[in-house]
Amino acid sequence: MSGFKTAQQRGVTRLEKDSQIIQGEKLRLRDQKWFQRLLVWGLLVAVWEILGVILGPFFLPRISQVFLSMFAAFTNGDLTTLASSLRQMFLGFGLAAVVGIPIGLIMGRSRWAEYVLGIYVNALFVTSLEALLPFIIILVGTDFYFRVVVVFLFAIFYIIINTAAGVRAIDPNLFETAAAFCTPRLKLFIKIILPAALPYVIAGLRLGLGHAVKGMVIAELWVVVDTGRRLVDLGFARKLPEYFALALWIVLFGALANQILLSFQKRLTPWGSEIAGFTGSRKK
Amino acid sequence: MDPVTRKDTWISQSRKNRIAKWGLRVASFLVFLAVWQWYGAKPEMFAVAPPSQVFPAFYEAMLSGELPKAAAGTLYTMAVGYLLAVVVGIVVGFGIAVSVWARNTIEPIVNAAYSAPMALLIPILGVYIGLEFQGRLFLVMVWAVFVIIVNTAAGVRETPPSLMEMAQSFGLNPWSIYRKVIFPSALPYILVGLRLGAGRALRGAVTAEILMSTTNLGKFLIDAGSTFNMPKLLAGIMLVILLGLVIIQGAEYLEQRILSWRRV
Amino acid sequence: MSYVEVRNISKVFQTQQENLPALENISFTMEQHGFYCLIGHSGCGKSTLLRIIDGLTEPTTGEVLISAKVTNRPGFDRGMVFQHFNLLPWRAVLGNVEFGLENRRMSKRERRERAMHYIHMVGLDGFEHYYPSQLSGGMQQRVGLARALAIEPEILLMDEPFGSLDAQTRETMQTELMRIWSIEKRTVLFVTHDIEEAIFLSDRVIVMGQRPGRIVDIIDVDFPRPRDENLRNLAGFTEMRGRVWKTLKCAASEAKASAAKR
Repeated sequence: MSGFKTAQQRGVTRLEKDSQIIQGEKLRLRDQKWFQRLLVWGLLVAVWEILGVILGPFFLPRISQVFLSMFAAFTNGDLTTLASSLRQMFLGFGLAAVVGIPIGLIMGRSRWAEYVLGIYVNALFVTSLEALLPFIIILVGTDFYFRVVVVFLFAIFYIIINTAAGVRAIDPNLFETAAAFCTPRLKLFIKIILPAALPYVIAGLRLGLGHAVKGMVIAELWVVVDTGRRLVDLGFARKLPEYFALALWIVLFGALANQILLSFQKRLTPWGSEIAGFTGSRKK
Repeated sequence: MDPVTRKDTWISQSRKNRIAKWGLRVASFLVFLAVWQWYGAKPEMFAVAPPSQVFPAFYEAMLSGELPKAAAGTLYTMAVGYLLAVVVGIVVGFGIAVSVWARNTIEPIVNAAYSAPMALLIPILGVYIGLEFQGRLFLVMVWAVFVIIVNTAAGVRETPPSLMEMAQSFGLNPWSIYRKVIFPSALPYILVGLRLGAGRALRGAVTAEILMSTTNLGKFLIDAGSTFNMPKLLAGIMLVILLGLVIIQGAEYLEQRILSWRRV
Repeated sequence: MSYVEVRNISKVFQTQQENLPALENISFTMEQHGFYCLIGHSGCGKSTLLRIIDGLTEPTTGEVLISAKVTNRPGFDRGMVFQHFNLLPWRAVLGNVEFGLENRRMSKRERRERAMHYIHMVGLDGFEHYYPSQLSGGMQQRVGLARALAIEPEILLMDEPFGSLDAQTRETMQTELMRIWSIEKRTVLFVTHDIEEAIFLSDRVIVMGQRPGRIVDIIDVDFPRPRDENLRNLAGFTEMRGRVWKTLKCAASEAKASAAKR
């Protein structure tokens, strides 16, 4: 059995039913999370840096150069461009939330709505929305609306499906209790359904936001505007440090927005645990 | 009420529900088609072709072999990239779940990549891999691989320790524990990852063909769009939607078959 | 020389804050084909002790000898029955019973025959192809029992096997276990926190106190076998129940007092 002490295996031998207390054993240094991260990530950064030196900036920029470029992005206009892209992204995402949440609530509450709308939501949920780009562009043109529509479509189905799942997951006992106290319909919605489904709604918003950013990038790369244009130009000119810097900023902004929503959820629904959200796995 | 009649009414109830469900779905679809036809047939509408033009265009493109050929190319790219993603995804997923080191160091990177917009790779993929088949393959892979990793790792981690303890008690060696306990226990999760990965692989393939190198279905769509051949464009989109549905439904069907023990 | 000898077993769990002694200086012996019960409040370490004997957990000090040989890893001479059955949900009854036989050298046919034999013994004929989720708790534990018996172990270790069953099923299963044990003589170590169950089943009850787990009393139960339900109404039975109950209570209040002192 030696040489095979995986996490599980250790869990097995440690799993003494009569002692649930033993949560964390004394950890040696090499078992500490921060130490492992410092070592492995430090190694990765070092390897990148060295490879960057060997291959040259035309092929792989040194990571230090990328970091410098990330600071430079404050002054060379890249972040301003990104900000204007993000503004449009948030408009599309906001619209998706405003439209998606009510549809999700209705679909979760009424079986008829589910039968009528479900097929479209599910079909578009699994569809390659990228295939719609040539159609959308003819429909609304290449300006402002194009990106808003693409972001909207990328985000809305996650919001609908998660909101509906949240409503369906409400304990039927709650409805019974509400009925026992003669709660009127509107109050039922405000006092029971909305709060009970809120963790799911926010999980849907988080997933939707992630996809909104993806939609933004794809839309802008396709019509070559704003950040997308900048990315295409930088890639074409092989200004790789600036390219990686801008790409990292986009990823960081996406992660930041996600964190904000997450802390929102924790504040708004302190009773609920973090919900990963429904990304297409079938619920039982 | 005696149990037998109660059971009978219960059955008829569920059948009534099923009829209502499918009736409503079909009705909703017919209404959708009717509105689409009415809207598309308006003379001032040129962006939306009505179904009466889209369906014949679809039929024609299928018959002429143009659409099947394009779809076959797309599906080929997708399939090869997907297979790569499956192998890499399951191996890395197991690694993350089993090794504490990998969990602490690799997993955060995987999670970040999972939520990052992979399209960011497109403008620089030419530098490293090229924009042709290999590049598209790579894009399909990165589109699909992370969801497989994440689900595999979750499944392996969810293996009940009590089952592993049982296996140890019955004297199984580590390899047998993997084969007979951990793998089957993680299989439902892995299959979810594979199903979602299949959907994503198709998205990746279509995206690569539209944004990176214009071929196959991507070319079909872009050509139809740039010549404003709306019936053809919508026919192409229809096929993409159909492909997505078929792949997901097929994967779901396989999942049910493989996990038949869960149905009972 | 006794068949099984548990010698000076202690177990200490290390946590980040402190060392928690779970078992302290446990020693007892078991004769071949005897039925022994370990009884104690939850948290007294009786399951840990059982796992040490099975070889799933290492003791901090002490050793377990079976036929005078030190044993520290699971082996085919011991079969375990778990409280929560631990059946593989993706395998039908037959597959679950065969599970323990698969890594032994025997032909497929032999394995199947052996499994069928024990499925019959626990009264599950006709259920070979049912999945665990289709069976009641009592039936699931019959599968668990058949799986353990199928490897034909010398020692049967049972970890509160009826603890998650309802009262009525539990009594049926106790009687069933008695019946099977009378056909298939094994040395049994049965962990429980149910006093009646312990007295009804065993030849000897080992009473454990908690914090740290230690043996506080060993009581011989010499009611004649075969036993049946009427045993529970005998005066001697009630008397013995009272004795075990008192011992357990004393041990618990001692533990509380010592915890308060700390």
